[in-house]
Amino acid sequence: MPKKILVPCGSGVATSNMAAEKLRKVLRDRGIDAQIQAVDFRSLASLASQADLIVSVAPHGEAKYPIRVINGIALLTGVGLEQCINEIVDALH
Amino acid sequence: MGGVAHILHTLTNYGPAVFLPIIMLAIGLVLRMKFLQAASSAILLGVAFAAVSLVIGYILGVIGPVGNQMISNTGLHLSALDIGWTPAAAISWAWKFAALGFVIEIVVNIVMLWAKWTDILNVDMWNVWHLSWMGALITMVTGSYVIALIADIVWVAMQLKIGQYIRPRVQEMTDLPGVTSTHPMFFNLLWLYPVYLLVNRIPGINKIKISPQSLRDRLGIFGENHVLGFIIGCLIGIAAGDNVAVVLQTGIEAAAALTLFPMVSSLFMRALVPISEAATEFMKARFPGRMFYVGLDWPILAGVSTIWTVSILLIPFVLLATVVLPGNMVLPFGSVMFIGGVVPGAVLTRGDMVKTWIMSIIMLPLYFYAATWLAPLMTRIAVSTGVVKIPPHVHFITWLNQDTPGVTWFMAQVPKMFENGRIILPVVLSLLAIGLGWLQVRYWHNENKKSTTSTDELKVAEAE
Repeated sequence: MPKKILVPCGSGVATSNMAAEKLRKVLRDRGIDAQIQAVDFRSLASLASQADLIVSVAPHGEAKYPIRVINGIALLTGVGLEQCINEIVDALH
Repeated sequence: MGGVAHILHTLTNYGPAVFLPIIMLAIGLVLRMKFLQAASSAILLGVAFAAVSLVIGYILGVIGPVGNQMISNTGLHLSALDIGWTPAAAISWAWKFAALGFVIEIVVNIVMLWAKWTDILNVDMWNVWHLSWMGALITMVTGSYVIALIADIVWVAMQLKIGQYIRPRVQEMTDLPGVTSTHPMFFNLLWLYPVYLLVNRIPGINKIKISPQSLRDRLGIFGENHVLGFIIGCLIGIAAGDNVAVVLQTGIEAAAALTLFPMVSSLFMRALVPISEAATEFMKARFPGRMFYVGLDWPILAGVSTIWTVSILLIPFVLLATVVLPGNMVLPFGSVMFIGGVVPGAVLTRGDMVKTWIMSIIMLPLYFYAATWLAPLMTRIAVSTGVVKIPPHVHFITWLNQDTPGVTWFMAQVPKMFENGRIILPVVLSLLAIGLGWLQVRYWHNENKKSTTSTDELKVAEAE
């Protein structure tokens, strides 16, 4: 059963898909099988219970979720990407 | 040149779902993408057009007749159906010169970095659709491609400048170093700032402290697309005087429409990701070793609870404005969440919920009148690009929550006034715009001097 990762943004359209595609690519390159879904923040609370991890490009939110949240801004900027991916891989294990 | 023009003309006749994928395949190959990958993205782009057309057709078919019935039942002249930003983006991508947006974005950014007018590398290639949107709109209003090109160049320069001004504040609010948002919605700061000064003068306003998070937890469900769509659909059904069964049916169909929109629109993004990455690499490669701040789309600020709480708390006022504003033609449906006005307000007030809310309410009429102005133009563009077929029972489509209602109107109408030989009004408006720009620059200059984050070292955006 592949782990499920949610990547949220404002609309579930643009930024989240950008980050999700990038994440898909790097995880595939590392041979990790994960189901990655771009969603919007408004439905994140309802979806979080059925997922394993949130990789968010908007940290510092005060909202609490039942699963771990990792800062994924590096997926967009490319700065510190290695470290970010390592953190995600660790969290998946 | 004649040959190229002929080929372009032939291609545009095939419709956007065929034309743009071919252009994007060509751009992908120029940017050194692998052929199969570029082809896959190109086909996905065509699929995105087909899917968006389908959903727009569905919405017009569902809401159009009920809306008409509502007009005859209530006497309200709401003949322009708001279908939100996703169709606007689709229509923009379908404009025949849409792909030029990438060129303008990249060239202006490179020139400004080279001239040291900015430290920002904008990697948000998604919002390039705004350049096409403005281009299509301005050429329709003024008939001039030159004015459209100039407006687009100014647009990109403004994005980079405002992104640079707000960067320390973005860092303060998100804890993200080295990034900013270059989304054009921050143009709204121009007119939000005077409103902010006014709101600050309300006695006792600084003493009200409400935590937006607790409200967000309670109200959050109203922001979910299907819930929101259901409520709006039911309200339109009730206003149309339908019976319970039809009201509930309209509610569910409207909910389906608002749920499907982001789903099909995300196909655009997935198709554009490889192009976007290639364009970013192309720009980075021009400045080896240079330090950048990275310009991104607005959702890096989406962790600020005020944005969501105010967007939801604004909905009753949106509905009220629909009914009470004289001359309003807009029936709100697709863009009832006023993110584009609320995010810059939240940045200005540092996330103060009450101030952002009041500022947003004050500015609502601007959105309604801008969307009323936009309705015939957007309808014509939509039809001429072939993305939307307007059924006979629908008069106009429009976009209520335009990202930049004031700037859009200004950039299209002021040149038109000059064209028509009018002098005084456009000159006054231009002076007003310059004045607002000056206030804005002064504000951020003072703020950033105080800020502790502005001296942070620039982060290197390394090429992958």
